[in-house]
Amino acid sequence: MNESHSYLDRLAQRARQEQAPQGDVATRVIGRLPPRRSSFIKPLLVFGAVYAAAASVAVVYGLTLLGAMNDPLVSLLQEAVLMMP
Amino acid sequence: MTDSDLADIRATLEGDDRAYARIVSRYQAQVFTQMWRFTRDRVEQEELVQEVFVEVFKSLDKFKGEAPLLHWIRRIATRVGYHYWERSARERRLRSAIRREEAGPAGPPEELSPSEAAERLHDLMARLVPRERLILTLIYFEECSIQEVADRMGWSETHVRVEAHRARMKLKTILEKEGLGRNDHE
Repeated sequence: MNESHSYLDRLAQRARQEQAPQGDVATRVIGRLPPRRSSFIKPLLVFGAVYAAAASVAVVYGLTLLGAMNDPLVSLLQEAVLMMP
Repeated sequence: MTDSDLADIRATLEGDDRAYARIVSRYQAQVFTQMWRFTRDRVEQEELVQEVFVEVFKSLDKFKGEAPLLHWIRRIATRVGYHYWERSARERRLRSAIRREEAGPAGPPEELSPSEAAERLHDLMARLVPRERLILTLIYFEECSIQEVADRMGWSETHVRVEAHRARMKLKTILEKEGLGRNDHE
């Protein structure tokens, strides 16, 4: 165990002296960055979501009312028919 | 953390890409060196360095500034390297086996050039599973203590100690099989 330990330690000591290849990746990294959401986008998204929710409630309520509505002429005509001799 | 790091982090978070480019330029040499421990392929090394800085950027808003920025970058780089090993473990073992056959018998470490020694150590450790390999890479190449390894990977010290022991025993068996480390100082 000691011999192999010693061998590994000496090998590692030698290996640590190696100069690793270097490069410049700054431009390429900037090109790969994910798009950022700016600070005012979040409140806008929240406002949009609330607005859409309110609008959908209004649409549902409006459709319900629309179904219950009658043509005002119908009641007039009914009364006219009743008044006819 | 230096004042320039702090200023560049703030500017980056406000959307200034040039500030982030300055951070990359400031620390890329250390990351290039670190990623060279994970691959001996220059194209892959550069790809990993880019991946590290993209990951750093993504989590920059979580950096609290309690430790130097470089420590934090190193921690992310270690995880990126580890995941890279996990992704390509089988392929690397095959390539490593081919390189071993081409390399021929090894002499004492002192007679090897630093690159040859690094290559040999890299090939030896490529025969371990990624977790064991990572622990020994940090110990041998970066001279990390057990505590530092545990801290960097978020593992317990006991776990790291046990894995390190197991990995060393495996390497011992490999070295004995290949006759390395026994007669190298004769």
